[in-house]
Amino acid sequence: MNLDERIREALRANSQWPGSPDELWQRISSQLQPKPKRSRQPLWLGTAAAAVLVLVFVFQAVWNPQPPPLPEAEEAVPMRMLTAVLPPSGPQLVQPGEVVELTLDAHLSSQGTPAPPRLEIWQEGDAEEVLVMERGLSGGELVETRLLTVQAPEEPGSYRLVVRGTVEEQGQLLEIYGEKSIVVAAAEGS
Amino acid sequence: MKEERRIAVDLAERELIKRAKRGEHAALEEIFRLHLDSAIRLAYLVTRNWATAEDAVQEAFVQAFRSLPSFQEHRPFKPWFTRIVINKAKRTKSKLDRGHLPYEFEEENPHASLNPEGSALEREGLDELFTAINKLDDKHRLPLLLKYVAELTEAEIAQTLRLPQTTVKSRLYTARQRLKGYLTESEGGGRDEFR
Repeated sequence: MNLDERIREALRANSQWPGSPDELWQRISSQLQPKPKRSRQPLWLGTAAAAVLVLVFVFQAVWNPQPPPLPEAEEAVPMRMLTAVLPPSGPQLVQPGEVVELTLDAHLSSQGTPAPPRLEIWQEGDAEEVLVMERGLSGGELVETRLLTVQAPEEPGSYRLVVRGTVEEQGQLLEIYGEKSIVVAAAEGS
Repeated sequence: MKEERRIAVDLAERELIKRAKRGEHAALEEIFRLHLDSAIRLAYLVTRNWATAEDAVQEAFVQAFRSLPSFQEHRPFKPWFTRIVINKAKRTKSKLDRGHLPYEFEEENPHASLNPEGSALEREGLDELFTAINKLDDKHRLPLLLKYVAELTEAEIAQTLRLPQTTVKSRLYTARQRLKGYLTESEGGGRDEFR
């Protein structure tokens, strides 16, 4: 046997799976069962609504061309305040394993269907995103703080962290959502 | 001839993926059975624990099948899927190393070296070689596993590990040289070190 064959044989002899492919397939297959889908509004309905809004604005502009009265000088909103609360644009550069804070939005659910909150981490590839991690979250903590701390992946690359789902607060169903893009820097010495 | 066979396999794989994207359960199962052997062996060789390897492979298949709608058919499936398997296995192993999972680490492979036809000497030699492979650092061991277990080409290994092909070539060369060195030393009287 030459070296290639010996390496192949040594690895083969020491990695013979004692499990059952059928059992494993059953487990995978059960996870792939389609979940009940939320009822969605048809696409044309959204498009039609948007078109009506545009038409309303156009007609308003045509029939009422006077510019709106300028606000009084003392009522003007200082722009600096607005920029201060805007989130930083672009992805955040973090170190592998670093803890990242994700701010969450919460509003009354319009669907009325509870969906357990979960965290998804998508890795941005060359042409597509790959879901690299998904886990359930406990609702109570999210409602209280509106903040989630997430440990960044170890592997360098661009990721998108997404939190979505519903939580119950004082008998009301809230929809929570948060999203953040991060870039995990290569670890030193790698 | 080999190239023609590869093209035929690629075309069959594309057709299979098209069917899987359309939601054909049988196509998903066919993909699973095609890639299971190398996936589970790779995961085991990374985690050294069968239960953990099974979990990693299960997660990898579920993730791959869920991501199929965004998968571009003209790309080869195996390097993409192998990358998912490796990532899952590494992640599960690091959880194991940190003691987050209640599994026994470094379990013995119950089927290791069960080859009744091979001579005892030959089996011993393979076990020594396996020990030597495990002594390689991950940087050199992983390309070796992808070449000899997943049967990927150097270009596919480069794609899987997101490394330049020249780097992969050099790491494979170094790994083989080190293994040759181990074997020479072992055959030249230093056997005890690898037992």
